[in-house]
Amino acid sequence: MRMMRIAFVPLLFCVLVVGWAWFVAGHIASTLPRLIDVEGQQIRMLVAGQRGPVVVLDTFGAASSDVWGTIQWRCARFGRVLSYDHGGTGGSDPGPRPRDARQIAMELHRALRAAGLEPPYLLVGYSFGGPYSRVFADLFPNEVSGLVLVDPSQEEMFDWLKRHRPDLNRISAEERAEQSEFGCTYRSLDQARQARLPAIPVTLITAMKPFGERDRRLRPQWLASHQRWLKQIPDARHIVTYQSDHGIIWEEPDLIVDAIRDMVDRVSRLSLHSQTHGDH
Amino acid sequence: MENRRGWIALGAGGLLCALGFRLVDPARHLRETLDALGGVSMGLAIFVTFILATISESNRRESSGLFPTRLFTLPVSTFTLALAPIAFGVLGVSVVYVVWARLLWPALGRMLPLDWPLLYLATAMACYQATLWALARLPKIRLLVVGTGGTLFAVGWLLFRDDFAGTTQLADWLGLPGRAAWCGLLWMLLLGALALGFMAVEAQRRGGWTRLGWWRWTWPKFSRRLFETLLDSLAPARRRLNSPQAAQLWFEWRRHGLLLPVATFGLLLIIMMPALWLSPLSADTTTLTVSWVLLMPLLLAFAFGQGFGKADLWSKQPAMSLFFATRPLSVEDRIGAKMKAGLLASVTSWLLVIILTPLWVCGCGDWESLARLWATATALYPGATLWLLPPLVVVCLILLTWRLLVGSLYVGFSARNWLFGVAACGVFAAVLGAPLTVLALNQQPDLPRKLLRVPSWLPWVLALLFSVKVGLAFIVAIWARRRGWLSPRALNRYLAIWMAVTASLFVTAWLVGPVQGWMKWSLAWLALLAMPLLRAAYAPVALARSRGR
Repeated sequence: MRMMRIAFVPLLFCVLVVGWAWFVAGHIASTLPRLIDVEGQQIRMLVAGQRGPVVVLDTFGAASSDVWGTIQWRCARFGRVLSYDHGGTGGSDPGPRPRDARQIAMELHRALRAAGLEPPYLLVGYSFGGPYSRVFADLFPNEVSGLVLVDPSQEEMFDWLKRHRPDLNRISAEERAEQSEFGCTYRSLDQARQARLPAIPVTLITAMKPFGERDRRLRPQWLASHQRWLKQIPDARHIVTYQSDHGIIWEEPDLIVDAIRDMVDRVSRLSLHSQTHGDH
Repeated sequence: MENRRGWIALGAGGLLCALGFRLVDPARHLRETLDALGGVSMGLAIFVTFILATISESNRRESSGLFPTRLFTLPVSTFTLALAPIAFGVLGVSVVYVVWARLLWPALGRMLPLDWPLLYLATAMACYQATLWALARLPKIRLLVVGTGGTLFAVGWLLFRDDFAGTTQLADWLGLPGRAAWCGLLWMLLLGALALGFMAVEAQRRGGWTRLGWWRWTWPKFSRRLFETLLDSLAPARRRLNSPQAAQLWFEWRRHGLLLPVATFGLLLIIMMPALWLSPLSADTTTLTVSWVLLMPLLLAFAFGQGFGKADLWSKQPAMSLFFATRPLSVEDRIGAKMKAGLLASVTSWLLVIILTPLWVCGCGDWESLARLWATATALYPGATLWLLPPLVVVCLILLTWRLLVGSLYVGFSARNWLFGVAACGVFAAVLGAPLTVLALNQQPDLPRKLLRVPSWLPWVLALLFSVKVGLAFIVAIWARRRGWLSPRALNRYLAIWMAVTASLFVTAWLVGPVQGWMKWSLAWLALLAMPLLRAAYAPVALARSRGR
């Protein structure tokens, strides 16, 4: 009895602390990306969510897929959401060179199959992930149901920069020879320029808050390049936000989640519509 | 050669560095990283040499570092007595520098000069020894003089750089080539230090300077009172020492707690003073300096924390003296006093950093990069979180500093030499390990990829280990309780403190992590590990056992 009196509070404390530790460990384990074997190449990938359409999150190669964290877990409430590290970046094995948009798209396609995720896919491309998503949609037109482009890099903007600000976006000869993702920037942009999108709905978000004085002068041109590209798309929506800069995935994750949810709704309506027409 | 083991350890450290540097390929690494690695290791070696070359002895009655009185029995002149230790120190520091400059730095792709640095270090050593002996009877003034002088010497080498504007100005004014002017000053200082050292030893040999005499006027009564009042305002004043616990807290604060704020202040001077000369600083340099300043209390607390549990930090004997052991205080009173003094030290150190850093940035820094950081923060965190985070981060930094200071109390309480040795090795390994880790990361491009591939079983294994640790802490705490070394009140109080600190760290970690997912949960996991449990439970056991020995 005396022992119980002495030990009760510490014991209660230990039970609570250990319970909390196991709870936190469970959350870490369930949110850790897994390694998927894609023809011998290990790709680090995280699939969140149990049911719903497959949403693929893609960004520029230098960033780890962990940048999608908040958006991915919020979207997991209404879909199966995938983020992954490109070959040779983050935790994924290096893949064959050149690391251009076509190569990235082919690797993604193989990784999706290896992970057992069946089409159709809803692609979300942030920054340079925009051109990558467009090339993927061109290569696999029957497997893509919709496209959300988040402040995407646009080939027209790079052309403009080449003419007016040659000091920016300079890629050295060594980097080109290395054929890394960065070295293949212009080759990937050319592939995106040639890509023909299938008849799918597209949402494009443009972040207009400038980051620094130099960016302030470039933003109107950035917006114009997005507007001109969207004119070619029959089923397009354009969201312009002045609340965030290019770091929009951290600054306004809710806006992106809403855009993805809206796209999921549009895609399911279209799918229902086509099924109804098919039935008749 | 009183510190034979110390010299052997210094030599072994140099050998280890030499072997480590041979593995580095200067062509494949960032220049800054290599410079940091070489600079930190050489600075540490020189600092240790100064400590090892200190020739003084403690006088129990007066508690001061006098010139060793037993040496006065030797049949040699005072000049020889004073010169020999200085010459020995100069030789030691010169050998260390030459070894680094000619054997270690070339492996990192740098060749250091020998001429002026040897004169510089010799002067510093002579001044240091002479100051120690001359101000042996005035320990507080000595601490101040050695601290300030050390700071000046630590940053003064900048004057010898060819690109330093001040050197050219002085040279123009004196009509001398720049470096020659400073070398002339060093020679004068060296001779002055030798003369002062000789006078101090001679005076002590003749029994003089024991009554202080004219020295008293240098430390007038009112300034002494001001200093004491300032220190007392942070811990209970003497008139309020109405309990043994309050007295112990006052003792701990004055004897151990003060060390961290004083060292923080000294290092702030070392870091900030050169910048005052070199101002205006670039935005990047400002950010780098501010980052180091913010890291400093944590690093110092980590180093001091290994000895913070000792009954008397300044004593060479690890065992508790009878005087300490027989004080009318329980084990938990002693631990409580240490913890409170540690908290006081952490708060004071961070107040110094928080007050001085913005002033320094205003004076000679560039706000641009800090403003950019703030802009990023405003983008990342929504309104309420943004304003909540800075105070929360400051509180967490104070708590972490406190944790580093008191987390290893059991080392000091155990009063075992081998445990101190292990703890000291840990500090050295951490200090040298950080730049080496950066180098390893640079050298192996695959390493970040491997680190990102966290296996899914790892969190469960960590949870299991943590559970075992908590279980052991529980057993030790209950054992200590049954032996009467801990009261239920003290135990419950520590558990409440643990929960409060962990909760605040957890909340901060949760708010700081901008992106959901495993990284955010891992930060939460780290918050759980921050406060010690097993070590805290073992501290009273170690103290009670060492007190009984």
